[in-house]
Amino acid sequence: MTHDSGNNNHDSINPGRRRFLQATGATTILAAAGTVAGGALLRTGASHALASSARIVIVGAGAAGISVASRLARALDGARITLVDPREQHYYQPGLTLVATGAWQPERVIDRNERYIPRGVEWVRSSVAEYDPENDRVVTSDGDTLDYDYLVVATGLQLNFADIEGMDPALIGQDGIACVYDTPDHASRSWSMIREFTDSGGTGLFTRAPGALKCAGAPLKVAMLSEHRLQRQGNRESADLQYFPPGDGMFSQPDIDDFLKSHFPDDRGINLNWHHQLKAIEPGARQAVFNTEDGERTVDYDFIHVVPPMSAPDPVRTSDLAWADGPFEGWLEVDQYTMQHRRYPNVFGVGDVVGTPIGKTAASVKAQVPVAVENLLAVIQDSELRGSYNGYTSCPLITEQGRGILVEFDYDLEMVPSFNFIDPMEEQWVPWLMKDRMLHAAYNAMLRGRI
Amino acid sequence: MAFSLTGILAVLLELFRALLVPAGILLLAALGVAVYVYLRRSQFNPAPAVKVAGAVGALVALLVFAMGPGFSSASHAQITSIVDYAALIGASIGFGVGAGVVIYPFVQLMFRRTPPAQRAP
Repeated sequence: MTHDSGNNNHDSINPGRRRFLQATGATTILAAAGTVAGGALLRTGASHALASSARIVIVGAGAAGISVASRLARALDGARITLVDPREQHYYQPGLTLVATGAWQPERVIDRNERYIPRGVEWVRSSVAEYDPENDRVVTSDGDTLDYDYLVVATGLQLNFADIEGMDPALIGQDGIACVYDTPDHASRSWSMIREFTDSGGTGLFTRAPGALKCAGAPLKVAMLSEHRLQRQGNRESADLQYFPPGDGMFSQPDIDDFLKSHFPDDRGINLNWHHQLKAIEPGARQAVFNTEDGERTVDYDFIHVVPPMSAPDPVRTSDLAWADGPFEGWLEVDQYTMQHRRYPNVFGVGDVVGTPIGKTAASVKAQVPVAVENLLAVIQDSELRGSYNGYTSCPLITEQGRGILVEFDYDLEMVPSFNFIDPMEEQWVPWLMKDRMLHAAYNAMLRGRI
Repeated sequence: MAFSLTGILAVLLELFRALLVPAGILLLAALGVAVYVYLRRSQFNPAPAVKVAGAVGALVALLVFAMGPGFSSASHAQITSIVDYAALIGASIGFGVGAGVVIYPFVQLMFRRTPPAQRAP
């Protein structure tokens, strides 16, 4: 029998032939698996959709709002879903730290909302100026009234630069002033200041506003990445770095707080100045004024990273939807587990706007949105709310360009690692790799309601 | 936070979304060539093709190992933990095997059997 016969049975296949069959078979299987998996993910049909004629208004087309819209569009058949937001561009805000420290180009974090808003969702290009939960309606800045049966508030938050005397976002990128938050433009202008500072040295101040912040790890990352660049530029000895926490802590999770309290001064040479709140800035004189426990203190600088106080957007903050008092005063009053409004059961909240003990990160949004949607669907069906948010949040705390630690924790401030093999207390390349290459993809999958 | 299989696939889909069309064309071409080669398998000599595809795969794996950290703006000096090395080695093997499998059908086209010499009348 020759080995090129087409009639060989299995037992008589020679090794070369077997390798041949295995190789071509493997190629076929891989291609088929890819086709099946891709097809399943690209399919947008709602085979198990709930029939409903509900009118649902989602305010905000950021990470939370679009994720909610994607999930509801798939889960409901016949509902009228309206998304309200004037912004055409979508910013991948977790990447702003990397733009501000030169690791990414700004274009990498700029996208378009229309790419992610699902078909069938009506997009009203306006903002909400007034909430009227008693009458189940919102009024847009254009004066239009939108009536709803169910409302999802996902507006994000606002930065209050005006709370710092002399500060204006237009100053970012001038006179040594940086601010990583809010827009790629801010981050890009901040990078010009960080580059100038790390090239020339001097005194660098890194501030942190009191109260709840989005991505509260960003001020820490900017400080550490700036310090790392000074090292790489060979200018570390020419720079004096000062960090100004508003209280006596650096991070809400206690283990990481302990780590940072020694890491900053001992490993990075960054001096800690407790109980310092930035009160005013004098750009021309390059001076910052802090409120401290001992009164005002003025500090000269060559570079300053300004982190403004943050709050819920004014229309939410001044509405009946906000907490009237307590630690979350002014933020959206939701139950921290169900994400349902505590007084208006047809209102839900997700993302930065909610007043909960933890969680103004994209990772929090990823955990909150499925819960909020599940519970909203339960309300529509008049059934029991089963979804529960455990406070999960995550911060890939980048300690230098190329390494970081992956911190994940919950309302109990307990570490809840997604991957047990990644030590949350050890600086490693893998968390950086995830931040640099993987998390943006995960974010986009979240926008499409896939994770 | 737990990740489901479909969740991981969804992330991979987003990660490679920009490459889906060219990658799909390449895979379909590889699949087509693989079917063509299989149907005319008597005309081909698999051993040298497997060796060449394996060598290409090994080369790709070495390149990924050497350039992987730089691809993420890091350096080999920052690869320190077991997890880091496992990720880098795993990625190297994965890309190497993938490259070898995809290139194999095309390589196989270059290795046909030599027909036996015709006997003179």
